[in-house]
Amino acid sequence: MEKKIGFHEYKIFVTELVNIYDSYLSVRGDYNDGINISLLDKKIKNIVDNVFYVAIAGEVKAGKSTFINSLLREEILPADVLQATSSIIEVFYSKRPFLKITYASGRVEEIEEESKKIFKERLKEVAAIPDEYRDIPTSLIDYWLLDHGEIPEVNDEFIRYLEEKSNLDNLSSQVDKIRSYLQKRNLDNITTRIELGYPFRVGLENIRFLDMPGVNAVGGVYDIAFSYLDMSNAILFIHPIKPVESESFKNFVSTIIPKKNKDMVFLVLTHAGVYLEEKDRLLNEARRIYANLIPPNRIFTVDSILKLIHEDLMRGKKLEDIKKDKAKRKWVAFVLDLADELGMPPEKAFLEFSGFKELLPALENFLIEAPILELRNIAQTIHTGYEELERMLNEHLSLLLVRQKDLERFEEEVKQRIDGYKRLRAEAYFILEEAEINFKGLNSPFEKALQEFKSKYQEFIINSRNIEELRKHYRDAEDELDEIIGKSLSTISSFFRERLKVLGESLNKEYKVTIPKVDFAILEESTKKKLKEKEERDALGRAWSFLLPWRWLKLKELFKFKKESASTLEKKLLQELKGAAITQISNVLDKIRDEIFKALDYYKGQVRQILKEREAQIERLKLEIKTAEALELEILQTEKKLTMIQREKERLNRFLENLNVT
Amino acid sequence: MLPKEKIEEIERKILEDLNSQLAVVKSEVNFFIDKDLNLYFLREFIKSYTPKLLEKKAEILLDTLLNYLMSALLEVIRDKDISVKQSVVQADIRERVKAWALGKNNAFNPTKLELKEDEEILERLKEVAPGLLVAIGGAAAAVIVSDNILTKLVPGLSTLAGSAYIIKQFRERVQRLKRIWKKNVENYLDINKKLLHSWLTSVIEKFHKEVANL
Repeated sequence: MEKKIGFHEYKIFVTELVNIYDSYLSVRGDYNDGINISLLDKKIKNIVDNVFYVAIAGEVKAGKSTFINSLLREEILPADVLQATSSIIEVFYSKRPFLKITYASGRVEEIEEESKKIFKERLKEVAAIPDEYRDIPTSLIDYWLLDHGEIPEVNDEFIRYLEEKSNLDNLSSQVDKIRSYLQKRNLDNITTRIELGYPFRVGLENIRFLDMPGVNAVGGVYDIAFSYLDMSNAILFIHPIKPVESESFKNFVSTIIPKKNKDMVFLVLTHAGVYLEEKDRLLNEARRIYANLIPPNRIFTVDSILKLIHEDLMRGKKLEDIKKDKAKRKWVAFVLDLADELGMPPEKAFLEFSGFKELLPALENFLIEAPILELRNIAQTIHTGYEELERMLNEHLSLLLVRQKDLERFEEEVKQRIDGYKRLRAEAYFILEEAEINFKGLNSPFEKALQEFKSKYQEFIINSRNIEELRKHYRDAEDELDEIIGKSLSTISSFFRERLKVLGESLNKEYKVTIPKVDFAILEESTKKKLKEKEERDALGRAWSFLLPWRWLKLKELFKFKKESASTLEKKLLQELKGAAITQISNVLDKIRDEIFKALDYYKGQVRQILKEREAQIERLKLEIKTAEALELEILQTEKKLTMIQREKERLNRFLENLNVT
Repeated sequence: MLPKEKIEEIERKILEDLNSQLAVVKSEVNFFIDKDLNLYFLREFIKSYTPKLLEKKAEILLDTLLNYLMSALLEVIRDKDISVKQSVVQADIRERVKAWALGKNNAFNPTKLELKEDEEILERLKEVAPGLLVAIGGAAAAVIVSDNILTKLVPGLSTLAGSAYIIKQFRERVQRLKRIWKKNVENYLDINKKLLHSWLTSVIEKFHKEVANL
């Protein structure tokens, strides 16, 4: 049966793999076993530095901050205020506590080594909506300022624009308030990024929680938030358990976020404690309502307050003290009654009824699924490297042994191998040419896939009804292109792998030569990486990989309409963006085609190069003059190396076996 | 080394490919012309996109042609002696012919696409704008770029005398302009088809010569 593993076990696997890799490097030395070491190095580094991004989304007042606090086991985010920030709050583990706030003007404010209370107060100041502005769409106004950099004229058109985008009525009666708010806002006090590092309790070192600004009533999100969702490893959509039906969630999943992100959404129904008796019925109802959007095992019911009380108790806080907190008081009495009835210790009862016991393991398991796969791939690559090393060393050893016994036979065997490699090179030419015929030109599957892709997305983009839909199509197009690239590269790899194998087998008997290993899997990866590299920056910069071209398109077009009124701007911007997106996609396709062909040339080059290298090696062996002692020493060293490889391979097999039962 | 019949078959196949690809280009460009995009963007886009598309198609057709030729050559030498194979390997004909075909003196360069009628008609469209300016005030700038936006403004304009006539006239002019553009593109593709065909034929000749030198 499959064993579910968590972060703790995952970290042990990572440490073990790093050890295995270090041994591999020392055994391998300078031998060319066809493995691209610099790429493998990067993969190991990525695994060690891996950070999991968990985005917490949901409507304003859905209980996101309390939920994050209960995950963090610390009440550090202000939960009793209406969050108004246009930026994302990133919360993560840091030995040194700090709060860093970046403003739209570029100004950065940093508070270091302070208490939790001070951080909470400052967050409250920058992220909460002042009471007097609670009834106007402050975030939307901030976004306008962020996009345009100047204060708009508050006329009927601007009001209509705000009403339409925020779903709020009667904003015309709030004109003075909107003006007064605008007077106070400028790029120097609008936050764009808030980072909170804190020494949370163990277990959260690799997670970055992203507290997203509330989605609007129709599930829409602003570009920056969209970009963060895009880079997340899991998205938790928070929604109160009653009423269980949420239009914003439906729209968020079905039309706002890209296809790729749909597979990482969890629906977390909060305030379950209030409806404890109805909880199971409501959960089943949610599973039925959202059956087409999300699998049933990714819908959970939780109560964040109950979890926080559980944490208080675990920290040794007395029930009397907990009761002093108004938000917790009634729950203490209620759950204690239930615990009494069921004969459960209080701390266990609070955790049990909080629902987190089910959610957390499911989330951990989901997050490490992909990295576990990567660990397996790395281990298999190392295994392939060892097998090739073993084969090369055995071939070398057999020649050394022949040389030791019979010099004449040795020279004959070397000549036979050299002829074999010459033949191999001539025959390999047919395979390289066949590759060109299969993968280039009108009739290649790659060209057909590109043509289909282009027609499909040209149609989608032209027919987009609004900017959000266009943005989603644009992002989906990027993902689909990644798939096309992946599929094409893997077809090219399998073609070479299979054809070279057949050729090698046919010449092996006659000439005793084998086709050297070319690690196509690694080649595939490096080409994919190369294609993406232009958009990648540091780990966090990945958040912007999608946003960069999109932002560029948008800013370029926005600039043209800077002086336009709000309502016409969006229509015109949509039209302009369509044009820009079509041009952009067409340019990208041309680049992708060129890069895939470069990759094909690179593959061909690698095959030619390795064949040449092997032939040269045999030639060198023939010319080397060796004393009997030197020959004996070399034989001993080779045998020793082969024994080490055997041992390491066994260790690797054990590692893979353990990984496979997870 | 390559039989005459084989070469003729390849010439036929590549001509079919050329026809089908130019039909694809035409339908793609017409697809955009039919859509409600900003007219100025559309004009510039077609002028730059169509030649670029042709250039890309030319490269793909070149690879396709070399595939046909190389398949035929490989077929001929498959059962030949290793020394013959080695001479083909060394000659690296595909790369040599490709480099020649894409070289500065021989490369296919699409002609410039002129959308001759557009300036005049766009000028006339501008003449309509002041009339609309009176009718719909600040939103006038919007109508010049999109007939879709114009449609959305119709209900607001319906009470204004004469505005329906202006909109109708405007729409007809846009449609007429688009029809002219389609014709321009068609003529342009006809001219370039001939150029492309002659370029591809010269590649076949070059390949043939290279093989003969083996």
